[in-house]
Amino acid sequence: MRNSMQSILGILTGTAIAATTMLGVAVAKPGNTECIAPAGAGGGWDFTCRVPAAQVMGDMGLIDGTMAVTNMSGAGGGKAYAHVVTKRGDDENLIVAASMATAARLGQNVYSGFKASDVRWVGALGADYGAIAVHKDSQFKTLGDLVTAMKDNPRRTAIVGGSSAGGWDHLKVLIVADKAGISDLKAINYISFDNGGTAMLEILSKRADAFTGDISELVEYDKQGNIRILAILAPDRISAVPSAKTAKEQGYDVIGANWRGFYVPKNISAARYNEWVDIVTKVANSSQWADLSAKNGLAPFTSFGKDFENFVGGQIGKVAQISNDLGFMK
Amino acid sequence: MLPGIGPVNAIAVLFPIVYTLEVPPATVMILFAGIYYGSQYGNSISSILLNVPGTSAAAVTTIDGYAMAKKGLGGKALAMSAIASFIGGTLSIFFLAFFAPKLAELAINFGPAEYTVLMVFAFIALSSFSQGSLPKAIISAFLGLAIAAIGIDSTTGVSRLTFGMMELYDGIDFIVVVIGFFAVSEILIMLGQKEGKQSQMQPLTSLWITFKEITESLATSLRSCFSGFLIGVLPGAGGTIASFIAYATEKKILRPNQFGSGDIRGVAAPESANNSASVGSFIPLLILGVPGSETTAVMLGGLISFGIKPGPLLLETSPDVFWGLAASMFIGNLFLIILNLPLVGLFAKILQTPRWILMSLITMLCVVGAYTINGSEFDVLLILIFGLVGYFLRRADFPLAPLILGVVLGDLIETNFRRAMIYSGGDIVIFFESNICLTLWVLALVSLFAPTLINSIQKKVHSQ
Amino acid sequence: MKSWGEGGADRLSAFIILGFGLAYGYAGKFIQVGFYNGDIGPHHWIFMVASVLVLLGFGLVLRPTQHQFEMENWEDWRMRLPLVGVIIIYSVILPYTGFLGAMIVMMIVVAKLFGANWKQATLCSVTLSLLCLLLFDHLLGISLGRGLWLK
Repeated sequence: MRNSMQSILGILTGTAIAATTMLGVAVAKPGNTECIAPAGAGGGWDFTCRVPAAQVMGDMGLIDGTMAVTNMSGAGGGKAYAHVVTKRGDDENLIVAASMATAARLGQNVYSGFKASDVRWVGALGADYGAIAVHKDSQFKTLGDLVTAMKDNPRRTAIVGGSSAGGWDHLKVLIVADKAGISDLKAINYISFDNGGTAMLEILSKRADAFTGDISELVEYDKQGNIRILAILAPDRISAVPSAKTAKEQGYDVIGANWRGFYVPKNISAARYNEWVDIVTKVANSSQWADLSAKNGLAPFTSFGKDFENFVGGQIGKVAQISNDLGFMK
Repeated sequence: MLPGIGPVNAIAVLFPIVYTLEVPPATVMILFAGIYYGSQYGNSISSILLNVPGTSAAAVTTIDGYAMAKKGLGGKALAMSAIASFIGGTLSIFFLAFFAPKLAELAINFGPAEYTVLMVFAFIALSSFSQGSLPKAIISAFLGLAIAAIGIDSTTGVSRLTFGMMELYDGIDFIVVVIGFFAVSEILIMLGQKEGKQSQMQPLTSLWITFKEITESLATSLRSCFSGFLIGVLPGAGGTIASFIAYATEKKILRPNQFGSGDIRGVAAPESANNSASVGSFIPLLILGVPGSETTAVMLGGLISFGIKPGPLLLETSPDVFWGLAASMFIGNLFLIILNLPLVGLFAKILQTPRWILMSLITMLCVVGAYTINGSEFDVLLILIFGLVGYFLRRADFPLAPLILGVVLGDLIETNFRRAMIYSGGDIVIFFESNICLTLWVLALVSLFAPTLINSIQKKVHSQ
Repeated sequence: MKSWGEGGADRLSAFIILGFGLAYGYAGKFIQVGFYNGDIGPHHWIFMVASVLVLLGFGLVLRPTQHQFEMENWEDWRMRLPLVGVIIIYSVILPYTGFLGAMIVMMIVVAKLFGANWKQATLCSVTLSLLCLLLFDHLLGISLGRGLWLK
């Protein structure tokens, strides 16, 4: 009894204090647009929400007010996917960051049975090529060194990445290993983290041996000289990381392109869907984005609306095939 | 007293509102901290005037506080409690601002193995310090882990134990768990209690406190603040132990004294220590991601659902949350003392509201709170189920704090455990390799044996 | 360290925990395990949690802790069952009646259970429900369940 009274006193005083202290802190308006980054701060999805969505859309005045960014990590984007499909199906003000990794998980059918058709695909506004990096003091100097270690001592060669086990970051390593003739791909020691940022910490602290991710996740660390990029999985060298060699140069013909884009809930109105497509198209074609994307190591790549939905469908089919070929899809 | 609809439930009920409103996380944290603070002060009012401590942390305040109220000095005791709380709360914020960045420097050394052991330590500490037997506390923690595992597996993305129910894919929201296990079970318990004899409410007398009385108890407040902070930093210990220890220490140091029969310093010591401990408990919460009490466990869950991971990286990734909180606690303290002293009469009146109004209001807030999280009736049914389970667990003497911790940390401890195991190639030795791990294991062992020590201190306080 | 205790009367709860642990572990067997590496898959954690519950439950059956267990006063459930019932009714009728109707019904019952008379209960439930609707739906813009006719 007395307890309940305290709770009321608590609410009263608490609200009063909060009300006064809130004046000093930013106050959000309700009903604003929201972007869900299906991973923690610091990775590629987070970037997709914060830069092209919240920043550029805001600067260009394409949305009212500011866009809130929510980080929802878990299951390589699966948690957010399930959340959007089951709980937010008709939220008109919501967009969600997506990438090749999302398509990869859908292709392997590991989003708890959810399909690509459970959401609507808005568009892509850039591509991020894969990269493999190590600590600057690492014993591995070239991609070849790492591949040899993976061959000889797979259990003790820890490779970290931001996607979940079997996800896109994992797949890229497996494709390289496959090209190098390693047969026991299941023995490769891949450890999944919430996003590229936390995975990178494992490299900086020297707990892990190698990092698999995307170039945009490495640009800053490369500039500071904390890491060595062993290979980028791009057709040519990229200006944001000029010294990094491509895998192809080192004899492994692997290209891993990770497009970055958005999806929205399925049951929003057609008018609103078209509005979102329009907004993303405008962002993708803006000079501000062209500048920002190049700085962050993204290569130009765009696709919108209906075309994009077909493109994602195609990507999903491709991943399903690769996963089958590598032998870990049931 | 039963742990129950105190600050935990206030936070649980308000949480869905702020979540839907998309209030920035820093503000939310400040709001929670405000509730935590406010209800602590609310506790001291009922402790002093009614001899009823709302939580175990306020139990010591009743000894001298109620004795003073019986002498007609209730107002003085309340004023002292506010001033001592202010001193304890404010000073400890400076400790917080000083220590937190130092602890954060350890951040980079925390890998999956260290996190796993850290969380194991948190479980052991909380289980060991909560009421009831140790095996029951551990069972409670594992029931929490069992609930947390429902939904999508973070590492591989497969769904677990959802039985094909869409509502479960996303997992069970921890707020639903908190409202069910704490609030609904509390309502069920109250329904069984006949309106018992009300303790005699002592009249509220003049709040006027002399400058001499403040200076006399200043040393007590300062000492208690310091010891309270140190105890608050230990996960699992928290305000109860801090207030007991501060009271016992002051009783030893101060000679002559009238502790037990209405000494004003007997109010100052536990109040200062208690408040300082609650500030201290924000260190393990924010810097290590390990809550030290039920309330901070609920706050942790709140932060996680906002996408903020409390932990060594918090100062780097969300400095606004950390420093906003520290600043607001300072303002909050000031605010409490300015606002509460004149309003104390009003609060004392609220304590006399008829019980059926309060209980109806609380029931409504529970149901509304559960519904607004996802806008789903399913969650309303869930709080009922959890409430019934929680009722029987409480009847059977299972502490519920470890269960909440299990729900909040379940996903984190599992993923980190699995990561560490992959690192080591399945070798469990990884949890004993680094110095951090070993230190944490030692701390865990210490906390396992600490309750015996604390018990003897408490016995001393009561027997003397 | 706290003692494991001896004697007592909570074997029943121990059996329930034991049973829950077994059921939980059994349910874990039906998880559709996909690809995983490092020898620990999504189902192993479930098995671990289940086995600890089973072990501790078993331990508690053998050595129940010593505590004064008051017999459950089943009379009190004449007060509690209506509460349980009214919450179930609330969640069932909410989609049809909307928040206001369902909440007023629930609150009248709750206030009655806590000793109010009819007049007090009705007044209290109508006022609080209206206040709540005003606060959430109108001021904060959070829907509390609109019901059939407001869709």
